[in-house]
Amino acid sequence: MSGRIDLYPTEEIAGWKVRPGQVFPYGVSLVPGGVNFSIFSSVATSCSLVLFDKASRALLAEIPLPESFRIGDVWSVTVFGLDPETFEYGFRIDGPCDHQSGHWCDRSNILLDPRARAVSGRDVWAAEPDWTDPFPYRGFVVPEDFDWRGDRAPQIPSEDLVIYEMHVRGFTRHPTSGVGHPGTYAGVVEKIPYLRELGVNCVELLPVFEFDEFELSRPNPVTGALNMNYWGYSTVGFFAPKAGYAATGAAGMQADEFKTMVHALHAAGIEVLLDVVFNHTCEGDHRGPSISLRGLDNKTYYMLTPDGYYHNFSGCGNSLNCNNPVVREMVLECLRYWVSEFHIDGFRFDAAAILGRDQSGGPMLNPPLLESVASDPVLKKCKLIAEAWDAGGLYLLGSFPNYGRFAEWNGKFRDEVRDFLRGQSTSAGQLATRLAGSPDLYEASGRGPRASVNFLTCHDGFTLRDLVSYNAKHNEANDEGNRDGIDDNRSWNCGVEGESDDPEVCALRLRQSKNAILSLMVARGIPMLLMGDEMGRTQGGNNNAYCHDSAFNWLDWSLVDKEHDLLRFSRLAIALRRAHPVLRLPRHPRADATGALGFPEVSWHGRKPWQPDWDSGLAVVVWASTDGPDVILYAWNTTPYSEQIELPPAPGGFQWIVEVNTGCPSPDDIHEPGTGPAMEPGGCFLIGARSSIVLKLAAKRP
Amino acid sequence: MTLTFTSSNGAAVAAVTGNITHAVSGEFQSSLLAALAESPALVLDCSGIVMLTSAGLRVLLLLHREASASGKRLALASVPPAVRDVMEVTGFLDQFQSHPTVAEAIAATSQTKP
Repeated sequence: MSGRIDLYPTEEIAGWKVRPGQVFPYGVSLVPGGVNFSIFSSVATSCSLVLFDKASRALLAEIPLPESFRIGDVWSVTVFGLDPETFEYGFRIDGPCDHQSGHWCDRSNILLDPRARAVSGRDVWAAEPDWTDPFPYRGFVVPEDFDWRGDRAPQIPSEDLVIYEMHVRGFTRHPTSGVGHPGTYAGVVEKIPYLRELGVNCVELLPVFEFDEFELSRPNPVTGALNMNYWGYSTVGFFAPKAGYAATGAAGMQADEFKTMVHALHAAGIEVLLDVVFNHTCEGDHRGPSISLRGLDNKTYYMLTPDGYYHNFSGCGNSLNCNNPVVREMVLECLRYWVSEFHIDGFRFDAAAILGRDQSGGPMLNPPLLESVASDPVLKKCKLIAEAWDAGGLYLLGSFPNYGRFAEWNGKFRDEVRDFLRGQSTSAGQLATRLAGSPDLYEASGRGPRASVNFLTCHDGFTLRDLVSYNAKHNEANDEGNRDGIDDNRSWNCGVEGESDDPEVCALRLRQSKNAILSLMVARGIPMLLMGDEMGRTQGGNNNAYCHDSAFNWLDWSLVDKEHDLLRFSRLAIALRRAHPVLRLPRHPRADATGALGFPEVSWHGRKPWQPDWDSGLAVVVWASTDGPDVILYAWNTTPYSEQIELPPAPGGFQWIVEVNTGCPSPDDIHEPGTGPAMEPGGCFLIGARSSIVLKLAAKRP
Repeated sequence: MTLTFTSSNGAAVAAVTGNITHAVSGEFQSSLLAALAESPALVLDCSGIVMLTSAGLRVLLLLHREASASGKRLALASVPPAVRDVMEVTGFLDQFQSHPTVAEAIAATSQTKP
């Protein structure tokens, strides 16, 4: 005999055999002979489970739960004889509706389970929905058994990561991608060989939790196409992979397809990080729709002002009350779910400063949510990366509550290196701090360069090509009068605003792009590239391209040929980083520590060895490993004039080998590691205008 | 869903038609397990499959596991392109032996050891 003695119906409601359910797990789960449902609400005076037929979307049953089906604030029910593949579900909650007091219960509404493992309604990307459907997003069950067949997390040390920030759909949707399933998880799998060849070992996916691409959609004034919620920073279902990104979304197999993608990426040695949005939801402010949390228990799930309005620290209408103990548990459970079920390797937390706010919005020194995430056993090996600010003005760069676990998107690296790149700042000293892994931000806390995700571009802002092609944003197509998007771009158009066929302008832009990518690859910390920057992807100067589902945002794979020169440079710059451990050491280099071959761990130079000029546009640094004979000279001349530098003498038996010189045209701009030309002993190096170089010390060639 | 059994060259051949879903999974599994018990090899002629759902894929894989555990061989034949495509992107296809035709599947199962 086997089986549980309580798995039999105790009563019949609305024609369905049911029994009081199991409280755990929250949400929906399959039990022998039936399906179990469990939902929290601290304000519900009644709760009904509403079932729909999946194929026809017609109402199947409404099962009012007896009071005896509630334990504490949790309602649960097991329904027997329900085919798990053919139903969808929601909840009808009755309770107080008094907006000033923060209550929004409405029994005329049917609500999505916040823990739904899959959400229907937006199964195929941009397929016109039924706008008359009063309950457009419905939960359903998916099998959670997946044969991971020997999957192993790459567990790459943080300092060895090269992150590629990408949009699942945008990566392969363009007709030039040539994949069988453009714009999907399956499409990503087909492009793994490209990622391998480029040399990145980690992808960071823009939001993949179910969202509604039709949210706030409107016709594009320029093209007439629909402006949509393309990025997806507006969660509908935290536990559900975006169905519209799955080739099999219409068949409800998005979870299996997603897992297959992770499995394939892992097999290629590539980690998978998710960009997760826990700071707000898609329900907006008091004018927004009631989809789930608002109707279930508004006061618990959202930060409210004393008169019942939504705090808007996210800039998106509401703020999730993430340090409320109940909400905290949901967030933690969600992260654990993605790690245990989907084998995710880490997370980038959008507008993470909000996760450190208390229930009335005040910043906390020791936010329980962040402490729980940092110390959770399931998340123990995960990379945790914070966007350490929010739209409410809380800016925690360097001071994000980190528990030794959280890294940060280093906004200072972006801003100051952009300034150096455009020649606005001629502070070699400032650049030195960023190249050292930002010790001003991360040394005191003991986190070191592993806490610094170094980036110059991300989805939010200019692409790299646009950073060197535009002085100002050009967001007209967003239909907000060019008022949206930041103005602080720190960009330089190289003399002409926008596209140009002037050979000198084009050459300068290409060189500036190379300088930028090289700076990322030599700096201590974790470099992050934006999808397409390795081959000059442009958004036509739009620095807030969140709403365009078009070739405007999709990666154009014809750039592989058109921008072969930059792509080759990017690939070899990543290879350079991999070839030189000294570039990846997980500590800030010290001038008073002895490194290899007679050099200090770090030394600064100028036109003459050992004579840095901190207030110039010429930075010259030598890094010498303390762990082995690895010595690198990096110099960046951001002035419009050539600069001749005298090289620090190589020790006996060694010589300087040229690895990179962005001042030279391809293929002399960068060499396969260790194969470049050797410098004469005692030689000088003429660094071209707005150019950067890398030399390495190597034993003299016979 | 229908199952039609024949045998050829020592292998049982089951022609499957219709939809393989949770609703028919019990019948599907028990009939095919019974056929496996009587024969060292089983070839599934999939040409008539219209739809294979998540649960259907799992039943197929469970059957494959059962076959392997008992030293039997299971092979798929003539999987329609649309079904094959779903199996591929969800990671199921490479767990099976799959052949373009029933004849090739029979030949392969009669040659190889489990």
